Amino acid sequence: MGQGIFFYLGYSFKSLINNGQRAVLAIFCVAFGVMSLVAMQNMAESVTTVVLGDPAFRLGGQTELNRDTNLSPANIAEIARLKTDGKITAYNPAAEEYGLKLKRPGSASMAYIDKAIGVDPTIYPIVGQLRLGQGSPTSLAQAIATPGTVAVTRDIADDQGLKIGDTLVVSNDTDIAPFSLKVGGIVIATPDSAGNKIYYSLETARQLANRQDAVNYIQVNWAPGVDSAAIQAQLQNSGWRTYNASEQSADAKKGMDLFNFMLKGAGILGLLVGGIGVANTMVVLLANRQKEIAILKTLGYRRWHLFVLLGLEVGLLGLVGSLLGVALAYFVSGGLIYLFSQTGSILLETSFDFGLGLLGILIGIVTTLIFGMFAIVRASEVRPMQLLRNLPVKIRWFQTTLLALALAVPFTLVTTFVLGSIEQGIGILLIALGGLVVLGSVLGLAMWLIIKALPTFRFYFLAMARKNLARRWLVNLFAMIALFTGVLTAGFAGVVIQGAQGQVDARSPALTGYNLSVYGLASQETTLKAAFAGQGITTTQARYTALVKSVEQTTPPANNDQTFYFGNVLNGRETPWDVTLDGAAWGSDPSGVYLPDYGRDLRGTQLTITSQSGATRTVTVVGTYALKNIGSPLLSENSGLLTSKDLVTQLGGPQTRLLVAGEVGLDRLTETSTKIGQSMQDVMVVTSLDYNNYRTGRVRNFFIFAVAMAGLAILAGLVLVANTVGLAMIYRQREMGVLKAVGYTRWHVLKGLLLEYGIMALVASIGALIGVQVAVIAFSKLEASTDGILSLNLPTAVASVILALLVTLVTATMAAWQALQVRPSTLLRQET
Amino acid sequence: MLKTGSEAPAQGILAGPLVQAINISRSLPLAGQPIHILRDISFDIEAGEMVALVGASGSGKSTLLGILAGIDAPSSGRLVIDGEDVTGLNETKLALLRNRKLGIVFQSFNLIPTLTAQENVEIPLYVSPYAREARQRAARMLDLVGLSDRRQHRPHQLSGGQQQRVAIARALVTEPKILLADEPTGNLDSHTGEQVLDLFESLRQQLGLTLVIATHDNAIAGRANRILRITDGRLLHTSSNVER
Repeated sequence: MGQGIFFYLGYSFKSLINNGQRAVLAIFCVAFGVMSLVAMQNMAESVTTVVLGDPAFRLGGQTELNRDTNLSPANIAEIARLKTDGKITAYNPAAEEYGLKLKRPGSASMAYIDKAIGVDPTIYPIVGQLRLGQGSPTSLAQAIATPGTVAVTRDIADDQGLKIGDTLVVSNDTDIAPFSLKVGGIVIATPDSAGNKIYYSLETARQLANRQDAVNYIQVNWAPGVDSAAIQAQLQNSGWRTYNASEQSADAKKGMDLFNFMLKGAGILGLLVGGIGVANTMVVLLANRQKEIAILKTLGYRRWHLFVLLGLEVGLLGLVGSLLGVALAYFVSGGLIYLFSQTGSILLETSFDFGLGLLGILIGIVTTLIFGMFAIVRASEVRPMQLLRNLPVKIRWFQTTLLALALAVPFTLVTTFVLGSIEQGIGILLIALGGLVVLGSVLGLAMWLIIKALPTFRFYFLAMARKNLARRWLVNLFAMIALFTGVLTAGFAGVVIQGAQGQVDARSPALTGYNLSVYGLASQETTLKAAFAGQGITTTQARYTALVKSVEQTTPPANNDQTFYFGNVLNGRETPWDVTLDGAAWGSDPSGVYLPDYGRDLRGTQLTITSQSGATRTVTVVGTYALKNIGSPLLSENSGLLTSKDLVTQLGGPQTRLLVAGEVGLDRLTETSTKIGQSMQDVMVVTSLDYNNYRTGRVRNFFIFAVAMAGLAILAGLVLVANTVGLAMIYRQREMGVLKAVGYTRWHVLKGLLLEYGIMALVASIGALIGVQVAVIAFSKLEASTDGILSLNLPTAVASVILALLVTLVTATMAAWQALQVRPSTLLRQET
Repeated sequence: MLKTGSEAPAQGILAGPLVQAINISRSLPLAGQPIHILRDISFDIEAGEMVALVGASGSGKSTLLGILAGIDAPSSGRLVIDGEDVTGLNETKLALLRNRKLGIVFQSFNLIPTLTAQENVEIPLYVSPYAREARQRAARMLDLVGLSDRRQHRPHQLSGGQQQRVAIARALVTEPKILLADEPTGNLDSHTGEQVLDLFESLRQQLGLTLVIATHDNAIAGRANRILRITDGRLLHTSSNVER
C-alpha cells in the first residue's frame, strides 16, 4: 500500500471535495474545537504570566522598606550605604501618591489613577521591565527627567486621548492641589503588567506634594549570599518596617490554578464538542458511502486498508479544520485578552503564541482522527454482499460502546497533555461524561415525554414533528445538550452580572445634590466662584485644605498623659456647613481646632502646628466633628484637623487647596463641567457622573467579558444544532423529495423542520433556566453573601428562552436552506 | 461430460476443475425461521469455460455468485477454488482471494464516482503485488477494453456501456483466473449488452479466462459453454452448448 500513497492522498482529497456540505460541517466542527482550545490556552498563558509573575515584580523589588513618616535624606542615605557595603545590589526610592485623579484641561472625561509614583528614572525599575512606546523616547529617564513631565500607561493614554506633549492636570481630595504635567512618555509594559499608572521624577513628586520629603518608601534587591533577614532585623530596630515580596500569599497561585483549569477545561470541552460533531458527521458521511466501501472490500481491501484510506481523508479534514481553527483563535483570543484586560487595568499585550498554534493544529488533527475513527470502524463493518443485496449494517451497541470507551483513552492522553496533569485530564473527561450522562438522561426523559404526550391538536405538522423527533433522538439529544449548556452558561452569567450591577446601582449615590466640584488653590477662590456664577450656579460651598509640616502635641489632654498622632492635614471652613460639631461653638475660639471623633475626649490638648515655611502656631482642641451625610460621593471624605478658613489659609500659605462644590441640573452637568474646565485650565473639575463611571466601568467591562465567554458556550450549542440539522437534511433528502413530489412546498417542509427544532430548543432552554434557578438557590445556600443578590427574574427568563429559540430556528433554517431549494427529481435520483 | 462435482479432489491438490461447489446450501434467518436460498448445490467448472447461471429473479443465482465470489459464505457445503478450500476462510484471506484470483462485475457497474476511469481500474492494484506498475497496467487494460481515450473521464461522464467496460477492466487488471459477472447487461440496452458480451468472449479467449455469468436472459445463456439452471435455490439441471 505504500506504493500508492499519492494515489490515496488524491483519492482522499477528491472524496473530501465530493462530500461537499458534509465535509464543510465537519471542518467547521474541528475549527470550533481547535479555536476554543487554542484561544483559551493562549489566554490562560497571557493571564498567568501577568498574575503569577514574580512577586518581586508586583512589589517593585525583593523588599520594600518604609517608616512611620516620609523618608528624610538621612533615611535614604542609610539605605544607600547598604549598596556601598555590597549588601544590596540596587535600591529605588519612591514617592507614591494615592487617590489621584487625572484630567485633560477642558475635557469632560476624568480618570481615577491606581498609582502615581515618583521615581529616580535613571534607576527605576530595579526588577522587571518598563517599556515605552507610541512615539515615546527610548528610556524613562529621557521621558520624565524634566520636572513637570510624566509618563502615563497606555490604557490612560487611550482612555484620555493623550499623546506625547499633551498637558494633563492631577489632584486628589486631600493634599495635592491641581498640578499640571506634560506627557513625556507612554508606557506600554510595566514590570507587574498593571496599568492605570503614571510615573514622574522625584523632583516632580516634591513639587506635586509641595514638600521636600516626598519619598515614602524604598525598594531594594538583596545581594546574593547576603543574610537579608538579619539586615532587615537591624533595620527594624532602627525604626524601619520591611515587607518582602516572598510574603505574598500562595492564595494568588491557587486562584490562578483554578482559573487556568477553568479556561483550559473550557477549551477541552470545546474540543470535545467539535469532536462529537466530527464523529456525528463522519458516521453519516460514511453511511452514505456504504457501497463504495463494499466495492473496495470486494476488490480485496481489508479493514486496515480502509482505516488508512479513510483515516487519510479524516486527517485531511482535521488539517483544514485545525488551520481554520487556529486562525480564528488568533482573533478570538486577542479579543478575549483585550476584554479581560479592561476588567482590571491590566496591561496585557494581545500576543499570540505561534508555537501554541502549531500544537493546536497537531491536537486538532489527532482529535479528528480519534473521533473520526469511531465512524471509520463502524463503516468498515459494511459487508461486500451489500453490493448484491441491500443489507442493514448491524449496529452492535455493545461494540459501539466499547469502541467509544477505547477511543476515550487516546482522547484522555490529549486532555492530559493540554492540562499538564493526568488527574485533571481524566477529571475533565469524567466531568464531561458525567454531565453528558446526567443531562442526556434528563433531557432524554423530557424528550420522551414530549414524544409520547405532546398534544398535536390535530395539527398535522406537529404530529410529523413529534414522529421525526423520535426517529433520530440520539443525534438530536447531543444538539439539545449543547444548547442547554450554552443557555445555562449565558443565563447564569447574566444573573451574576445583573446581581452585581444591582449592587453597584444600589450603592451608587444620587447624581443630584452637590454633583459638581472644582479643585483649585485658595487664591483662585474669587475666580472659581465667578466661574460657577457664570454658569448660573449661585449656591456653592467651599472646603479649604492645607498640608503642614507637622502637628505636635504640646500639652496632653486633661486626665490623659498619652501622646497622640494628629497627622499633618488641616481642613478649613467659613461655616460648618457639612459637619456636625461636638464641643465649643464654631468660631468661639479663633485658635480652636476640632478633631475627628476617635471616641476620646481630647479637649484642652494644645498642639503646635508648623507650616511648610516654618511658621508655627499653637492651637487648642475644642471639640470633635463628624461629616454629615450630604449624599454626594464627591464630598464623602474629609480627614485631619478642622478649623477656620483663616487659620488654614494662614498656615497653608499659597498652596492652600480649595474645593468648591455646587449643584447643577443633570441635563447640564457635563456641559457645565466642560465649560468651567475650559475657562480655568489649571483646576480639576469632577462630577458625580465621573465618579459613577469609574465605579461602574469595571463592572461593565467584566459584564462584556463574561458575556463573550458565555457566547462561546452558546456558539458550541449552535455548532451542534447546525451539524444536526445539516446531517438530518442529508438523511432526509429522499423523504423531502417524496414530499415535494406529492405537492409540499419548501415552506411546508421548512415548517415541519422548524417545529421540530423549535420543540428541541424550548425543551433545552427551559431546562437550562431551571438549571440556572437551581444554581442560584445552591449559591445562595453555599455563599450567604449572595443571598438576595442573585435572582432570575421572569422577564430575563422569558427573554432567554425567546432568544435561544430564535437563534436555533435561524441556524436550522440556514443549515436546511440549500437542501430545500433542490428539485424533487434530483433528490429522488440521489443515492441515499 | 459435465462433472457435477461429487468426486472432490483432496484439499490443496489441483487435479481437476477450477471451481468445485460441493453441496452448497445457504439460508438466512427471518423472524426466527430459516429461509433457504440455496439447497445442496454441487457443480464443477473447468478452466477456460464460460458458464451461465440462469434462473428467474429470486432463484438464488446472485447468492450463488456471491458465494463463488467470496463475498458471501455458505451455510453448509464446501467450495474449492483453484485447488484451495475457501469455505470458512477469514475475511482477510477472502479479501486476498478476491484480489488475486477473482474478478467481479456487477449489474450496476459499482464504480467509485469520485475517481476517473483510470483511477477506478488502478484501485485493486495497490493492494496487490502489482502496485508499482499500477498506472501502466491500468492503462493497458483500458486499451484492451477500448477506452484508452476515456481514461480521465469520471463515471458520470461515461455511457452505461463504457462504465461497464471500465468495471470489466477493473475486474481483470489483477489477472484473476475467474471472472464472475452478475447480470452484467441488466442495465444496458440490447445493442450495448451485445457489445459487452462480445467483449467478454474476446477477453476470455485472449486471457484464457474462466467466466461465470449470472443472468435471467436465455439469450445470454445461449452464448455460454454450459448453463446451470437454478430454480428456487436448487440446481435443476445443467446443459451444455456447442463448443464455442
